[in-house]
Amino acid sequence: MLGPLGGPCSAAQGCDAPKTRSSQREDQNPLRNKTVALKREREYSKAEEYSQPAFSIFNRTTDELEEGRPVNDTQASHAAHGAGHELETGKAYEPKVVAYCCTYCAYTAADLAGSMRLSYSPQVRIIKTLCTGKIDALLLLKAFEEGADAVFVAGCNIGDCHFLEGNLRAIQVVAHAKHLLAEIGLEPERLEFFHIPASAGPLFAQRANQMVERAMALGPNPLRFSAHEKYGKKLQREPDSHPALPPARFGRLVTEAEREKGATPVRTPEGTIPGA
Amino acid sequence: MIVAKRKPLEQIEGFLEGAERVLVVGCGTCVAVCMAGGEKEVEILAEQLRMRAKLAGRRQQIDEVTVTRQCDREYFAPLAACVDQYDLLLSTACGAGVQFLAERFDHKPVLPALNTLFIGVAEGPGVWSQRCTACADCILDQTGGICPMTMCAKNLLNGPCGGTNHGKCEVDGTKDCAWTLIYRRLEKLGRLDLLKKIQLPKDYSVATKPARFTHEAFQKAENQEP
Repeated sequence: MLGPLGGPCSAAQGCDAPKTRSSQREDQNPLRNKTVALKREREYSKAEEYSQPAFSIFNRTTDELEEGRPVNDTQASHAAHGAGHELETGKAYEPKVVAYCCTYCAYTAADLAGSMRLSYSPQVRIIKTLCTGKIDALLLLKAFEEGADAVFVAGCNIGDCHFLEGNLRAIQVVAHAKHLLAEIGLEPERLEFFHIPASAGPLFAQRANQMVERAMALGPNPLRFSAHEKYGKKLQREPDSHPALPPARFGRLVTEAEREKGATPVRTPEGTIPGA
Repeated sequence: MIVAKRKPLEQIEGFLEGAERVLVVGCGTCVAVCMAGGEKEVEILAEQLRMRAKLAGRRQQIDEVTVTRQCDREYFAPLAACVDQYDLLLSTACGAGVQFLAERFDHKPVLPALNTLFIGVAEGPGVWSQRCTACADCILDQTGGICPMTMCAKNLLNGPCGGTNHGKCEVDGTKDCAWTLIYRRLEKLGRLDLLKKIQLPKDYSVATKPARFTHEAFQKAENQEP
């Protein structure tokens, strides 16, 4: 479950925090014990309700919302796709989705989604970036090489970028990276760019679920199994060394202090040169 | 600046067939500026090749390194220590750089990852266009700074021809007629009189291939060498 964003974490786990103080008093008052137990039960049931991402309306893609398909259909398709992809270890396929979020908009939207107690898929791993303009194709490729099943870049609306055109650059970079992925033989649909304004918490949850669903539909990234195998690296190179300059034959550098007779001493990094 | 373009990945992958250890050597000068073979592009290419190898189930070690320039011998020195570990070098320099690298490490196969296009300029982000054909006899002083040898499809020195069509070339309607551009430029400069001068046939012997040039300051030293 996600930590810093609060939403799914606090809602789904039922929050460990209230236990601490009340558990000390539990033995003293039987009536209070009963009340606490009832309250906790209610909290857990509420948490379970929230922790079912498939029940959430935000789990549906824009297309499905437009079509007006019932929510349970989404849940069914989710389960059907998931069942199709068994990992080698025998564990059911749980997609890993990486979200590169702009700190000014999408990350704030994710924060808002947490504050609004919106439930979205816990398979989304959020990486905060100062601006989506910083993201380059290599970063996106690395995510796939390390085993991400889907990646999305979430930036500001057109015209809203804090740095004026970072999001426009990101759109181009994502388009280029899709082309690179297709060249490699991975599905370009695993990568997407979304505009998510800071006030759109529900939209963030929707987009996150949309990408998880897409990752479920596409199946595991074929590179997932070799994610930790490294077959090459960038070589470290020393800075260029230039041959030493030959000693000057026709003259030498004269300091200002030497040029003017009786001038005040000049402090240099090597020491003090007295006025010649 | 020399402008180049990366070859299709399939073709590059075909070069690497049978090689277990590959070093991708980038060039940090012209091809870095035209986003074809600089440090970042080399990293992306190596990453792509690694991912392809993994997908195909091959154990292929692909390392990358970028030198400042591949058209100067000095910058190959740091490579000498590690080249022997590799079966193959893949160079993302222009054609000149690939040849120079192959000359320096002639015991290893050196293969090109780029197609070298032209000498050109950056028109805007990600857009380059040709400006010079290296004819070795520049006449830009006569033509208002626009090169008919490059921009004119017929290399006309006394233009325009009869095929200019509303400022476009008859050979390719999407391209500007060089001589229309030259006329407009000279008009702006008030030097239309330059057009009245008949250009004599160009001396193509100065541009014979392969060209070689020694700077005057070094000619004496070169002659003195045993």
